[in-house]
Amino acid sequence: MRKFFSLLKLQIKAQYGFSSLAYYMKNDKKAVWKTIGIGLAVLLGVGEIIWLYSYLMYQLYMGGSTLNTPQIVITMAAVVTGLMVFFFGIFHILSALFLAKDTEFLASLPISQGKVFLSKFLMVLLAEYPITLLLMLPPVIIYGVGQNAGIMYYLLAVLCIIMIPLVPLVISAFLSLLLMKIVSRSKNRDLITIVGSIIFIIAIFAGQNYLLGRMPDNQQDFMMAILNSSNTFVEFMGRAFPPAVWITKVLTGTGSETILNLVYLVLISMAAFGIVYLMASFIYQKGATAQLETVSKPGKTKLVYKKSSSVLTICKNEILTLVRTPIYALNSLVMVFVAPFLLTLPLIGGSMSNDPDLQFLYSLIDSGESQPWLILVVSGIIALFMLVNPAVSTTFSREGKNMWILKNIPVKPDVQVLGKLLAGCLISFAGCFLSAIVVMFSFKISFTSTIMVIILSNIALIPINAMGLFIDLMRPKLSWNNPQEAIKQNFNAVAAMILGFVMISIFGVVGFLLTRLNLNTVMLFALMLVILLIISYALIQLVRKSAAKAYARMEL
Amino acid sequence: MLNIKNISKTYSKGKVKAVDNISLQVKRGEIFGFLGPNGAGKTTTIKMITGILPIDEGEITINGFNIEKDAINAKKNMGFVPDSHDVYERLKGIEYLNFMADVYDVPADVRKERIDKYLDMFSMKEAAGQPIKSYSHGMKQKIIVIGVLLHQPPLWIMDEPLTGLDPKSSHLLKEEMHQHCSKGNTVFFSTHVLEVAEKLCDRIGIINKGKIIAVGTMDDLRKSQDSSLENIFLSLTEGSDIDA
Ligand SMILES: Nc1ncnc2c1ncn2[C@@H]1O[C@H](COP(=O)(O)OP(=O)(O)O)[C@@H](O)[C@H]1O
Ligand SMILES: [Mg+2]
Repeated sequence: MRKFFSLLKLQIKAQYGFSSLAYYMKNDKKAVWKTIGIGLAVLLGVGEIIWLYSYLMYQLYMGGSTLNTPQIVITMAAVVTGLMVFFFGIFHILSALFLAKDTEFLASLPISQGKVFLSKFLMVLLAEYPITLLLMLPPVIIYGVGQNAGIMYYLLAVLCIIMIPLVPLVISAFLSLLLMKIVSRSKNRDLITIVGSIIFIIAIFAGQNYLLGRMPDNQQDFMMAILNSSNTFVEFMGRAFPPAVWITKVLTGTGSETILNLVYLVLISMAAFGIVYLMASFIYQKGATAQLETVSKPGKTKLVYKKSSSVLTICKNEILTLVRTPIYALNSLVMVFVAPFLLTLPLIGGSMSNDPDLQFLYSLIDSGESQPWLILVVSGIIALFMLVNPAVSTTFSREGKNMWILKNIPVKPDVQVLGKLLAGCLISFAGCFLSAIVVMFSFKISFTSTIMVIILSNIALIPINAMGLFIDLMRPKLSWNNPQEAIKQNFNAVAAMILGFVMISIFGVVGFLLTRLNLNTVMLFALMLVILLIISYALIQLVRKSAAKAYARMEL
Repeated sequence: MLNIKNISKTYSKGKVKAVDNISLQVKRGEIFGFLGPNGAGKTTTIKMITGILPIDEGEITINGFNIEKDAINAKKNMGFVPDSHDVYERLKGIEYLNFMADVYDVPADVRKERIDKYLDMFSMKEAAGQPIKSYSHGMKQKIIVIGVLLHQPPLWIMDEPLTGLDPKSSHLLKEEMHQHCSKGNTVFFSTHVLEVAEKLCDRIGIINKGKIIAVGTMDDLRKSQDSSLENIFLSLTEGSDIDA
């Protein structure tokens, strides 16, 4: 056991870099202040999101209260948290368990594979708590204050919050172990890893949609049931994530109900974990070390000798490394496929197809065809999806120790920056394009509007990508042990996402003001386009101007 | 000490046979050099010995423990210095050493004494309190070597250990290899430089294209009339002054 804790301590230190942080605190005061400044800026962005989320949760609580079911706010939050943890967890688990660079080192140590697995699992679990807290605290406080809950409620809430990420992570781990078992026998491992995980995620969303879609046949009866028993709705929501039901009952039930559900929650989480742990202690290492054997294609591959321009060369290089490193590809490309999929859900049926709200939306869109704001809203939604793309905001971090190459080659930094930006924009473009096409069918939007949406969402993403690039240019994380640290545990990616969210909000406000001018669709589109292009130009200039100095500052 | 029996390893399903039916016995107390040109299969073999890569065919025992069936005990009996010096960069040197001491059960009472001794020996005392990130290539290697020596492994395995060390450190390391063996331990290391193997080793195994071509003392090998061996010698001598 002592060895296990030693290993866990090592991983925590290596990942969060407390030691080197303390060292740089002492030796580089300026870097510390810069970090604090960026932290504050991000906090502001996070503040906006928390405020929005808390407001939504408050509305839900009030709505629930009038139906005599205030506890739905807890259920809802737990379901959302569970899904978020699952969604982010599967990449995190995959990268920590199977794509990490310390696999070889750990394999050579006299520590059982079960323990290595356990320490990595706990590391990932730890990393899920910030988001869990962010999503769970507001509703827990809203309900607690609203119901005048006592100290016991808050204590139980802490316990529940600790338990929430366990089940989704166990499922992620189980799926990754299976996936890796399959992958370790196949030839094209990288491809299977990427495709497999994307399929897993899409399957999970589809499953959820199906479960929620199985509304009781008679909607009237269902509504009656909700009114009569406050738990019907909770149980209905909980189909997506059963622990959410237990958590709700632990926190809002009384006496034996609380205890019974607490026992469920703890026992089932632990049992699920136990099973995966057992499985891991037999098959983990084989899957992990199999990742070390890169595949050389049989036969002769033709070598290509071709010349292309500097920007294109940098861009091509960027995309090739991105696509060929599974962990990078996964994180950067997932939204390109998942967003269009999410947007098809109304088509496939399930929860949304016969939804009166959706029918209403369709009629709104129909009448909105002539309404100019439609393209702005749809572009905004698509751009929001594409924000979840750390390709640009970790581009220098990902270079890591290879950064010397970029510093050394005879291509000016401001040109290199353009190449990298282009690569990121190409990925966003793929996502916007696919999403817009899907939206054209699923939300019945006209062809011309679709074209405008594709253009607007893409142009909106240029300044956002440029800003992400700028963040990473200023403060790249060049020292890491495994590639996942460069992309998954990179603060720059989070900062870029949050600032991107803020920028889209601002564009939204601008767009809203423009609609006040009573322009027709084409004029509105043109005006918005011009504004976005000006902002893009400004940010691209900013990045280009600061590139050379930033390069000089990067120490390797 | 180290017993390798008919092992083979193929990367990516049968296209490249990196190690082809190799057998070797390394005895207690000897320094064994594993000599071969780039891409011969040295690293692959070492990764199988250290339990990093699964073995396709054959078996390996270390001090009697099978590396696949009794992995933990086998690994406790060896210490490994890889050719890539990737260590946890954000740790301080001393934190890494403490971790290694924990994992290999170095008793608390000898721990400090040993850490100090080796830090002094390799002039790493100052650096130990700083993040490994700030180390040079050679310093990284030294901290890994110290981490291995802490538990006095009966079998000490190194992959290309002398590449990248300055003359003084290189001399120290060679000294330490002799010391280690004189205490009844075994050293197994790979190199692509003939002179290194010649000066240092009790016995040498030569590997080329995944196959063992010859095993024996340097004198034995020199006496051999095999012409392919001569070619190999030539390829390992040429340019060795650049690589060494
Ligand atoms: N991870 C890997 N995936 C596929 N082939 C590999 C891998 N590592 C090494 N090889 C191949 O195995 C052979 C032996 O390599 P290696 O053991 O590294 O040689 P050495 O250490 O003697 O230079 C080479 O042909 C090399 O191309
Ligand atoms: Mg090698």
